[in-house]
Amino acid sequence: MKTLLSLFLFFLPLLAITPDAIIKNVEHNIQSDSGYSKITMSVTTARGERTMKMESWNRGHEKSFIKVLYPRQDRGITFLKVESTMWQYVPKIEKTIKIPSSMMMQSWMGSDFTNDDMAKESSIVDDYHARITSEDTNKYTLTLLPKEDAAVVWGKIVLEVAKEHFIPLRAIYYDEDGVQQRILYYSDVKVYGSRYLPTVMTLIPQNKKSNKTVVTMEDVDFDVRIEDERFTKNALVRYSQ
Amino acid sequence: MFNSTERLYLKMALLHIVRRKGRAALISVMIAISLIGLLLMEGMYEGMMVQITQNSIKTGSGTVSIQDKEFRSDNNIKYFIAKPQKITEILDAQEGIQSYVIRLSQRGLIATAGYSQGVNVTGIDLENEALHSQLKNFIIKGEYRFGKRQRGALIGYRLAKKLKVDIGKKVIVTMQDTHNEVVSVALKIEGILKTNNMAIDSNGLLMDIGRLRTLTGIEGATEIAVLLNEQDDDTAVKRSIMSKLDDPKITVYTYKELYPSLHEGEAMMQTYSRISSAFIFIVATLGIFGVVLVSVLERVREFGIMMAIGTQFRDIARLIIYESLVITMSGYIAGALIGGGMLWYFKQYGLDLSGLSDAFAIFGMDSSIHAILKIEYFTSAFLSVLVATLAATVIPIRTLKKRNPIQSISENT
Amino acid sequence: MILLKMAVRELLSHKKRSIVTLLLSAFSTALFIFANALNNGSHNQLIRSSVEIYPGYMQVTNRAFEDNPSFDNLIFDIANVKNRLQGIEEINASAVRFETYALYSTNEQSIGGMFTAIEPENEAEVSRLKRSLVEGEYLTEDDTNALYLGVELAQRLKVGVGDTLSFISTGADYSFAADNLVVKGLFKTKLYEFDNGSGFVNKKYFDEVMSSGNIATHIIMSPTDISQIDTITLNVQKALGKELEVKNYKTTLEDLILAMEIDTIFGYITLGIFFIVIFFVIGIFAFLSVYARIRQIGVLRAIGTTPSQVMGMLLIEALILGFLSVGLGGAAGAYATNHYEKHPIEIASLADVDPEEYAKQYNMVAEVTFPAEYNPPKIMVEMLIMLLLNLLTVVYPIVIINRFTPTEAIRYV
Repeated sequence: MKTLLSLFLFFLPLLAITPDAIIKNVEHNIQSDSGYSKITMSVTTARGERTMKMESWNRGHEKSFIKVLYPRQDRGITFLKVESTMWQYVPKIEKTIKIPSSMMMQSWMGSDFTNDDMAKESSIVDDYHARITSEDTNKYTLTLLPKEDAAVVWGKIVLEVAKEHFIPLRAIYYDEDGVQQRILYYSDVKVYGSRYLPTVMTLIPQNKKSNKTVVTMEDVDFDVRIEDERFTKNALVRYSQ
Repeated sequence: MFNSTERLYLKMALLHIVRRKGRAALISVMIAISLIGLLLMEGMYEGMMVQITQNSIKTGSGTVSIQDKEFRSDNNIKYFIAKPQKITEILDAQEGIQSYVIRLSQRGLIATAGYSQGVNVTGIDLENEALHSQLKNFIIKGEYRFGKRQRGALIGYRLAKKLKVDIGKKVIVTMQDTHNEVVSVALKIEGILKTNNMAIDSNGLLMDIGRLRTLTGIEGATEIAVLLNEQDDDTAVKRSIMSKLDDPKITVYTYKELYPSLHEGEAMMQTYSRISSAFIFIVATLGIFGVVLVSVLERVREFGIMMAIGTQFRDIARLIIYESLVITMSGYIAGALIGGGMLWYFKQYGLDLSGLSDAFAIFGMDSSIHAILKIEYFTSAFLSVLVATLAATVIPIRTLKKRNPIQSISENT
Repeated sequence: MILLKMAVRELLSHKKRSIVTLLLSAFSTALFIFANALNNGSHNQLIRSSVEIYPGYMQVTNRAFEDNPSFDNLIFDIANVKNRLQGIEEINASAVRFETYALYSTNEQSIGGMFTAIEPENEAEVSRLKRSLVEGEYLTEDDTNALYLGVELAQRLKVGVGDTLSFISTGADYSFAADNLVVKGLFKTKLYEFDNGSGFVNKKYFDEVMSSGNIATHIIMSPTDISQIDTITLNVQKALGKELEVKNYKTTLEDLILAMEIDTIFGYITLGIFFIVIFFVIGIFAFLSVYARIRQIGVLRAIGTTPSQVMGMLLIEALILGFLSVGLGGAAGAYATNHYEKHPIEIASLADVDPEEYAKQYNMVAEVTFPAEYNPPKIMVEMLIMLLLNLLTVVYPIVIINRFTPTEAIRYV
């Protein structure tokens, strides 16, 4: 789920800190070059709540591997993302499927995240120009405007980062017309060595107010050894068990 | 032009017409009105058909289209023309070609923060396309350009409405490249198009072909659309290109093959208007006939006196024909002038039916119909009126002969 | 009575003229009736086939579904809705659908498309889906893992009847859903986009894999009387309450309805031109018949017949001719209409229209046959209109004749 995090990054330093440095610090808090975590994702809709559990491995932004553990009928579904291409293995139909471009805006595993959210390889720094638009005693507010060529749907992201430890607090996503589309809240910070990781992320889409996706991370390891083989298509089937 | 006897007959004909101006006027007006109606019908219907065909040909496939054999049934980018240069060399040397453009198309997904749907992405060269399809004229909002560093795109107005995007807004287009990898690009809307070619209006996005080539990794093209000087040369040009090309993988389609329903529609429309005009002229002939017959019968004695003083029956017949022709031709001239004038107006300014434009667009029509004005409308109408008039006088003249006008002088009618 | 006798005698003494007038007017009556019937009939048929192929006459959805077709906006208690529908007599049949999107996947490739659950037996009552079968078999209520797939999509996926493929989708509870399916049958509606992007499964099976028990996106209904559809729509809406939205084909197929209105307008324009000419001719004949009798009428007036009696006589003549011709034309029109309702005109034999090409180009159903609509009350109204038009043609002659004083009339040559 580091991938998710990396999508919504942010961070700050003290003194006359630059916006890019803030983001670098935020990214340091939530992502590593070789990370592992257990993730619980609960999706609330107008009609109830569903919970999924999974394991996630990642290598920076570029590569990630996810395996679903729960619910039981979905156990063993695996996802592989290498750069912007995504594959999925479904044990029930014994098939590895490459997610085609036409599915990119579809919901990922029934959550409020899209396949596109999962697949986007780049870090915030690659796609956005950041500016510090306000600053108070506790936090920086950064406004991220997409770079001209960035293939991102958002018109603007406003990111709030706590001054202390550069912990991300909240990211508000706007469309091109400046209308709020969704808000991502970060909470429950835990310390892992030099990193201050908010272990709970809550995504609330603004056009479906009764919906909510909460992602909780446990057993986080920022420095785990991951064999290269995990980020290959073969791994989808092999690690499905 | 006329000798003195004929001038005399003409004068007599005119005099008689003036005496019975009511019925003469009825016939003239009838012919004028039916002619106006027919001209409008023919000119407007043909204008519509030409418009539908042109909309599809220009912004679509061209008069002939060169593609990979498989591309038509499965619009997949993997069926591309690897070396368009080979074909363009042939086209450059080919007679009868007005212009051609190279296009590259791929299906993809277009998205904004709030909405996404399928889209047909076509890579074009703006300048060539402007000369070829006059695409520039179809811009209803914004500019005909791809902007700085070709980062822009033009999209169909129905698609724009669905996506709720306007000029200057950004859309994200995602598609598969030649290796089947997913690639995305951000494009700024520079212009909105209304071509009345539904494929573009509701599903089309046009971007720079060079940019699309970089994105998809395909150097070639999926289609070369060719416009000919003479639309009817399509089959000959197709054959000629095919034989020069001699490539089993590549096929040349004519617009008739690509849009068979267009061509059929045109043929049906023509048959329809021919039947209508034939029918109208038959009915009109009956009207002329009635008037001529009455005017002949009420003058049997008059004609008898003329014959008694030495006029040949042939000349009497000629007098009758002149009379009829003066009446019908004055109707023809009035009708041709008014109808022609109206057609000319609608050719120039179009008939605006924008209230119905959405429905028209379904058929590939613009909301304003521009009439077609052809000399042959007038010549064929002239011949029809002439034939109708002559046919209408046959029976009255024969009846007159049977009545034997000289004898009728002595009879008391 | 004497007027009647005089009128009859007048008509009989000019048999040819009377017959021509009568035939012309009879012919235009028949043409009018038939053209309208053909227009209505073929439009009704086009609507019927467009509606019945898949969309259905009436549909129920969650009110918020159109703007936001998410799983939050479904019909959540089908059983309850069905119960309430059962109480409405005007509803003939109803069928539940769950429409969603899935990725169809074979070992070679994955293609996205509509993935829809239907109640196989009920569905056959509201659409032609069952009848569109071209290979294999239609679905049954007991089917599991059986897919009824559009031919074009099957072709793209390179699967045939008996082959296995998988789907991946999101269940109604937002859970992940995937399963293997066996292609049981292929359908071809000739709606290209539809055949190229849809697959159907039995709803009972779908409910298990998609957690959609008692949930649907649409309930499709067909009314007992299509002509009452607006009233029925309102009634159903009232019975179902605000949460749900009831719409009929006039809203869901708005484009089609508009397109047909345009077609009707063009039909009327052509018919209008015909009529002007025909009535000019009939008018001319009436005018001539009156003119020929100016002297006779002068005599009548001189012996004390009042102008209104003269007018009465002329009107009676017109009425007799009118009744006869409209009766004759009406009978012929009604016969033809009735005949072509049962044996529609085959357009395919008139022009080589390929309905498939037509459908592909316009994404509309092309009909190869044109049935007429036999509707006696409509025919009566049309006959009445023609009778009035017939009477109108004597107005001008009557005005003219009443301008003469009896003496002038007697001296009139």
